[in-house]
Amino acid sequence: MRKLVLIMVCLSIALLLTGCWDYKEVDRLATVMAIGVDRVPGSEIILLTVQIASTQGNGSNKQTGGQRGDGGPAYTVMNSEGKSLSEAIRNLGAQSTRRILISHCKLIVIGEGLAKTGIGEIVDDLKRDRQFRRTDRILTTDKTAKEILEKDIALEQVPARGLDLIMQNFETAGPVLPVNCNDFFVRLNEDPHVSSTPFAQLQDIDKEVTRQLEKAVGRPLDSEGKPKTLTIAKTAIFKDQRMVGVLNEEDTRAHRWLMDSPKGSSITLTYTPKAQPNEEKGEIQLDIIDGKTTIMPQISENGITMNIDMRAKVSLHETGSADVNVRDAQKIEQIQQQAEEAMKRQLEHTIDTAQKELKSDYVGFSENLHNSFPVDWKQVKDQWDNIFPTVNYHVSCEVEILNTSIISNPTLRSEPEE
Amino acid sequence: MTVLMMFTALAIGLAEGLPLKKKGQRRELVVMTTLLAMTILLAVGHYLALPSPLVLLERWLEPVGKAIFK
Amino acid sequence: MAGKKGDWMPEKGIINTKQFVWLLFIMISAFATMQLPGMLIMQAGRDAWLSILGAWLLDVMLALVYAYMGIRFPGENLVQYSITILGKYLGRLVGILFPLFFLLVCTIVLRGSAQLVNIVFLPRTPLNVILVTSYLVSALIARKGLEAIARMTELLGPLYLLSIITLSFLVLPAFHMSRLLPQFDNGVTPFLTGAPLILTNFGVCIIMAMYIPLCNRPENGFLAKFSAVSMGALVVCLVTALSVGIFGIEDAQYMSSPGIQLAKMINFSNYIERVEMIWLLFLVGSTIVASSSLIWAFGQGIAQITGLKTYKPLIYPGALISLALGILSFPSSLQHTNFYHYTFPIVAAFVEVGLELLLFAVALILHKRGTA
Repeated sequence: MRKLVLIMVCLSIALLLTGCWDYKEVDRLATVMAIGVDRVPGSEIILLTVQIASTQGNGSNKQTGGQRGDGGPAYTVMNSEGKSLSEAIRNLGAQSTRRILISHCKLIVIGEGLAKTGIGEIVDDLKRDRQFRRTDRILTTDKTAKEILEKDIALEQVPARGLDLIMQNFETAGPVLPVNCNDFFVRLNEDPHVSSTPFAQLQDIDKEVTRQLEKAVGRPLDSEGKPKTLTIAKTAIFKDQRMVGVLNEEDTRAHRWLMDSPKGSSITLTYTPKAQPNEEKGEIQLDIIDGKTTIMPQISENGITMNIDMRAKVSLHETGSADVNVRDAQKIEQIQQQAEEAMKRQLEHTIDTAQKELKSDYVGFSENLHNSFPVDWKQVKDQWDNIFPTVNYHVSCEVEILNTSIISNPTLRSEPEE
Repeated sequence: MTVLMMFTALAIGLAEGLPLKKKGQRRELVVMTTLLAMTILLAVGHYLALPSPLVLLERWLEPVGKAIFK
Repeated sequence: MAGKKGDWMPEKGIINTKQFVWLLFIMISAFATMQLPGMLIMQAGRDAWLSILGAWLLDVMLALVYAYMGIRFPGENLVQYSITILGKYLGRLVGILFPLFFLLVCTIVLRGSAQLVNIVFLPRTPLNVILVTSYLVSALIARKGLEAIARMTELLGPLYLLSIITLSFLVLPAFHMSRLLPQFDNGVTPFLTGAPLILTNFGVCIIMAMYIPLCNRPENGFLAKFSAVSMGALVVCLVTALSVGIFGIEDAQYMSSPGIQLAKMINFSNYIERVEMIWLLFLVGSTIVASSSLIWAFGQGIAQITGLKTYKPLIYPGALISLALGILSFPSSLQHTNFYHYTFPIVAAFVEVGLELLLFAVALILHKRGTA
């Protein structure tokens, strides 16, 4: 009797172990690699674009041969609409033969229309849905998200993977500060409610190069026109869940210096020699190997002053046409000084843009003020938007050249012919 | 749910109770049956839409907790 | 008559001090790393991790009382010495509250972990199925006796501790110190109210009073409790501090389980990611073993109150009551969270601190001592 009961219990446990409610067959899943969200301003409808990786590998198609020998596209784009993000995702089911799986989504693209009218309603779903991860990267564009996700990226089969790789590269080096959902949400939550995302654009680089070359050689170039290229070089600024502006390439770089660190970035400056007039002017490029930015607030009777101190250790990457004897310690001193000035100018320009133009504190002033002076912060907290444009700041930079790469002095310089 | 719980209670009662009866451990049998009866009482109470003891506890103590904790 | 003699015990197993430590560690950490950090952050904001340290201090002081009582009444657990102290009838009335409290904790722990699995990993599986499976496993372990539970914790405890420390290292790149600062932003009130909230959770290890008489060296009770609660506090502290430093207080306070979200945040050099399943394995394992020892304590306590020779027939009925309570009392995860946040601390404080101090005071006043 007892044995019988035990056997029955074991059998019923075995039934529970199969997990038959949540089974997922790989060949019945549509793996979403990236989602794009758009909205037409003035309308309530969310327009969703998803990029789905094709599970048919190129290898297996070789057997079929013939017309699909290239393996066909490695991805599919699907569209749907709905009153909210989750409804739009569910509406994908109307056209998909496979179950939509978002767990592997790496990228969320926000179209301009949605960014400008407010992303508030999609943020909750991104936080609540168990399939989204807070490590997903987020991207804004001046086009629609649909255009971005339909764009092929050179060298990569699935564009979403390509975009993800671009962002991964930015993590170690590059001018743009890559942002994942978590950082984006936390900055929107925290006090100045200002956040940023990388900003993607479609640019006709190929046409531009062709046009300039044609002008130079005076005849049409024998080159095939290429489609537009996707570039990520700018930064979108969000304030209170709305995109308030876009930073240009230079400000984007300084934004990263302020919010993250200068490491991995570079400085280009026009070297103007002092004392010896026979030396040439030229563009010098420095790679920042290591660096640190600290923002120290100071409160005095004159109000709040931010002391921004930036230190960068650089490597001389290119001297261009500058005729500069880098083995001369004085010359190195001059380059360092001029680099410091260039950086300082850049930082000041970026902070001015934040204070005067966008009126949003994306430079990290309030965060540092809150951490250093919690009591005083409480007094200014409510009027921070009014106080921020009037905050004084003082920038000091220190650049130290560590090496000059694999050669020291420039030798054969090509004199530009006038 | 009610029926299922009563059935489980019965099954446990049989599986544990029969050996106890054989050994003549009456006291153990009584305590065990009381516990199982409490389960059945809970299940029936739920069927009759009576609040569970934890809900009663909550009604009584939640205001205190809300006063102390955010 | 049962309860009069100190050496009388339905459980025959003996544990050693090491097992004692891991038993308590699993009890504390399984209970306190699941949902508690979120509630604590809601309560204490950025000072949450500090209030854990405060609670740790308070809990160590409480443990002194429990360890002293364990030595003053040698060979008796807290159910028995409440009968010894307060007499046959009143003593039983007070004594039965302890096993009932253990059953309540078991209900909350297993319902919480089943809910977590249901929400995060198996959304289409009915919650009750997950719940029933967990109860089956933990009742099975509990029926095997304390030695079986102790051996399991000896295996799971170090793994769990290691998994949390590894997790902390792996999410460290996402950690921002500036999100944890400034401390004491809103004065000391959050810190002071946060400490009792977590104390009531750490206090679950009053179950140590059930283990002391079964330990081969009962005088090590305090030492074991001290090491267990220190490791437990470290684990909860890590999870809490990292949650605030990564998600910020605004988001972290409303997370149903910040620990799981932390595991989901792991993206180490774009290489190690999507490992939350492994951590969940340890978490669910720990909660099941912890609740098995709670069900065991319930069976043991009831057996002593009613004077039975064995507690084993009471394990399955006990688990069934707990299961019924877990299913029937909370229609949704919200009710569970609210109960856990507002009602449980009051009950726990009453049982863990109030009742025990009462017993302690009465024992001192009436000069009651153990007989053995």
